[in-house]
Amino acid sequence: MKFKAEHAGKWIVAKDGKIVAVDKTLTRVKKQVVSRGDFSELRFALVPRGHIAG
Amino acid sequence: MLFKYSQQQFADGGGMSLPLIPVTFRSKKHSIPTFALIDSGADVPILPIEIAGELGLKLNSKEKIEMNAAGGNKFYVYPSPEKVECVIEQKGFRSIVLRSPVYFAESASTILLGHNNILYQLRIVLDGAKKEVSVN
Repeated sequence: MKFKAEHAGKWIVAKDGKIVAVDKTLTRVKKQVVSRGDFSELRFALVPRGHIAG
Repeated sequence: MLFKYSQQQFADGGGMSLPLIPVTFRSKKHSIPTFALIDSGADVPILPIEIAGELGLKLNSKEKIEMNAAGGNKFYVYPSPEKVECVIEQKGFRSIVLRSPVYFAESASTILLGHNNILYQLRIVLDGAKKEVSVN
């Protein structure tokens, strides 16, 4: 899966390795996809803002 | 199970490859499927606090624990009131189901899988050259 620079610090929703929704909060990104017929196939991730350590 | 690293692009044109694996977190009432980062630098699994809400977990602010980040700064985490099921899944393989306390941070950068009690129960091989991680 590929995260673009614009995804940094945001929640994304992915299906089969492709990003289908992006938003600033988990609540908002979930609202974008909750009514999809394939909701059970989706997966959520918080993209790091940049380099992380620890 | 074998997973390819995910690729992250940065605004400065750089990028990183990250060993993210699919993990579904389950409480007694709710679940959320995610991608989580294998983090050998984390003592415990640390999740963004929003996930506590998704799982219907009520956190006790009096139980917060001080953690130290790699840069020396401190942050706080809140322990889950119950153990959470952490399910690692890949089509064609039997799921790996672990039960572990997890910790929630207000400023979590991503979902981190730490040693106690997740990585301690797994055999993980990070193949940096191939950008693959195997999990058993």
